[in-house]
Amino acid sequence: MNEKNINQTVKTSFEKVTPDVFDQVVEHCTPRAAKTVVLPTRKNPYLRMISVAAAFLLLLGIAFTSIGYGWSNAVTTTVSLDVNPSVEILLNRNEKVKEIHALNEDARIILGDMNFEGSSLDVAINALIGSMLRNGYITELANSILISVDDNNSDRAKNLQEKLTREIETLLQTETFNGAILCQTVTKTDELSAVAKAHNISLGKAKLINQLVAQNTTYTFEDLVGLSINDLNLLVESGHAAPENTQSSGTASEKAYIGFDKAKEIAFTHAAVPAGTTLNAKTDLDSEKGIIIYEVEFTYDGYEYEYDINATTGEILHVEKERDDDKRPSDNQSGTQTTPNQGTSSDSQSGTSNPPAATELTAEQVKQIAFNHAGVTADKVYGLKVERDRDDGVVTYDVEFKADGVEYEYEIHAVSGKILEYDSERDDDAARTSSTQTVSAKTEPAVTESKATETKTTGAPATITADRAKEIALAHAGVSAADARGLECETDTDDRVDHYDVEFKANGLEYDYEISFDGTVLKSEKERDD
Amino acid sequence: MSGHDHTRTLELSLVGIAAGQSDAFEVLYQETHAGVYAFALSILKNAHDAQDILHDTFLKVYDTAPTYTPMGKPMAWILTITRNLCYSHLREKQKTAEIAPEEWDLHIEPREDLNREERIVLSEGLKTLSDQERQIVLLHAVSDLKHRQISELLSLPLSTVLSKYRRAIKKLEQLLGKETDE
Repeated sequence: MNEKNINQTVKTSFEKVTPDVFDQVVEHCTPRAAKTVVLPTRKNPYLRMISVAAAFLLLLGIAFTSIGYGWSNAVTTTVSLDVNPSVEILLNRNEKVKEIHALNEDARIILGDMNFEGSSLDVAINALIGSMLRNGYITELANSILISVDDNNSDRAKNLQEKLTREIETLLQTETFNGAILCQTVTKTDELSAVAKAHNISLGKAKLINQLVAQNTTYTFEDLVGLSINDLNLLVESGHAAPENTQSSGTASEKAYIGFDKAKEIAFTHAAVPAGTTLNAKTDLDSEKGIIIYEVEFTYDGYEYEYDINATTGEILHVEKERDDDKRPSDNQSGTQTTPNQGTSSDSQSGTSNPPAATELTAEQVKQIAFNHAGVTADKVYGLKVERDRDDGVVTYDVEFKADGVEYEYEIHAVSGKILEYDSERDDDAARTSSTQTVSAKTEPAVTESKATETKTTGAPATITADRAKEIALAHAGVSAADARGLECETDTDDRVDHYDVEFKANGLEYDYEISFDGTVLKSEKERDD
Repeated sequence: MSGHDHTRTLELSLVGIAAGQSDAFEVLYQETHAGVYAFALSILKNAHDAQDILHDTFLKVYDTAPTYTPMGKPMAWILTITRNLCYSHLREKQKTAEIAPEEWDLHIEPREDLNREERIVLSEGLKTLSDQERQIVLLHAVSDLKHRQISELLSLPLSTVLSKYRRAIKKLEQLLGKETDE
């Protein structure tokens, strides 16, 4: 019996002995909210009466801010949620939903055809947050949400605020990230309503932006209104403003941006600071003209530098370089090493020095880099997944795919296209269905030198492919590919020397190789596999 | 069904469950219940308790499906729920001084529909493995997890998972090989 048959036997035996509890589970399930909240308003004569009455009162134009306080069905509270979708929930005093308004296009996507009329606030919040997660509005990259409560009764507003914060906090505890919540009370004024309406945002977001603008003179309402709540939260966390009476929990994610380290690297490269120079740089996240930027300030070789760098693309937006009066510059070096430009934009400079490739590669380009490196063509690839990620402040793409029974995983630098990490392993699913194919993929020397040269375009200095590295290691160990188990190959950057790490087991021994990219065996180790 | 399709089916089911489609829940249950049960059993080593956890896992999956973010790892997500339920179950048991059995002793009723190999696996096979070896084999064979995902779920280095898996398969190979030779 081979491995495949054993796995299959274990699987089928468990499929047979696992008790069937499906019916019991279903019995205990509370029916899903979205399906049950459709309230038959029109069939309820009482409710209809109320709405007619309410409409009548409105027609009379009674200047009565809250229509019939005693009416349990009148709107007493407005809760708004802002992420980028802005949703406004109108509640009666029993916390039943009267109406939900989508304030922008994103909110219409979130709401879909869900109908919450008459359902409890909890149900609506649950479904709305779920929908925001599913539709990718709240993610690891942007995890902030703003809750605003508008209620004449300040105790009720405060309680509701606390309750919602707790509830949404729980809903946003996911496998990979936690939410960041800003919570405030808001009072409706004509002025605020007009501003909110003009920009398709909630009163709450309008209030938050108003506060930021009031506290920080470099901001304007128009600049900030396009930012998401996560961006605004980042500005608050960076200390550029501290909105009053706003509770904050969790930490806003910065993962959508290149990060301070990368921003520093870009600035240093641009200023021609030699690699390895340690500089004290001051970094800050801020917003300018409606985009999030990193500010990098440092002193080098007698000059003070100030950079504004687009936090998404890494593009240098603004450079300032001036003589540092505290220090005496080494005169004969300055001026030639760097191209000075006093307080002008980087445009005039592009081309003279060596500006980093500031724009990110597209997913398509990155995919091609991985395919080239793996020596596969697009038509052979299946199960492809490309994800943009940020690792230690560097934006990367994670590319996963399968081809010829091998599963590949790449981590590729989003700007330079350099392959940072690479991993391939035999695809067990393919092995289960066609083991012969897998074996041939492993033993076949699929590498040709022409494929290897293709990898050069990726920026990685690989001259041999991972498969070739495996072959070299196997040959060195005197082990045939068929006997090697758990064969793995990864690129590594120990001590800045790029090489492949090849590991496998055979005949009771565990082998560990380091193969340089020109095919030299740098290190070989074997030990008893116990 | 290839692994990719399988993952996709599970993710679609989770989204369907979140939207209140009752058949989506049944699809998910059918596709994953053996894997959940096997994993619970590998931790608890008690068929009765594992059945409870099986029940509770799916209840929880149903309740929390709206918070699931599709990231290509639906099974790992479900099994994380299972693992957490098992651990809190064990904590409860410790309070009442009941201790999980040291030995793997699965009392499975002799069943007509089990073939010879399956019987050997269930009775002798899994008993010859260490706790971790058994757990890894079950997660791989029944729950369809990749070795990498197993290493994440169990917080073990990938190399450990791989070597234990190898050793476990070898043991089963020997046992089943010997038995079938007779």
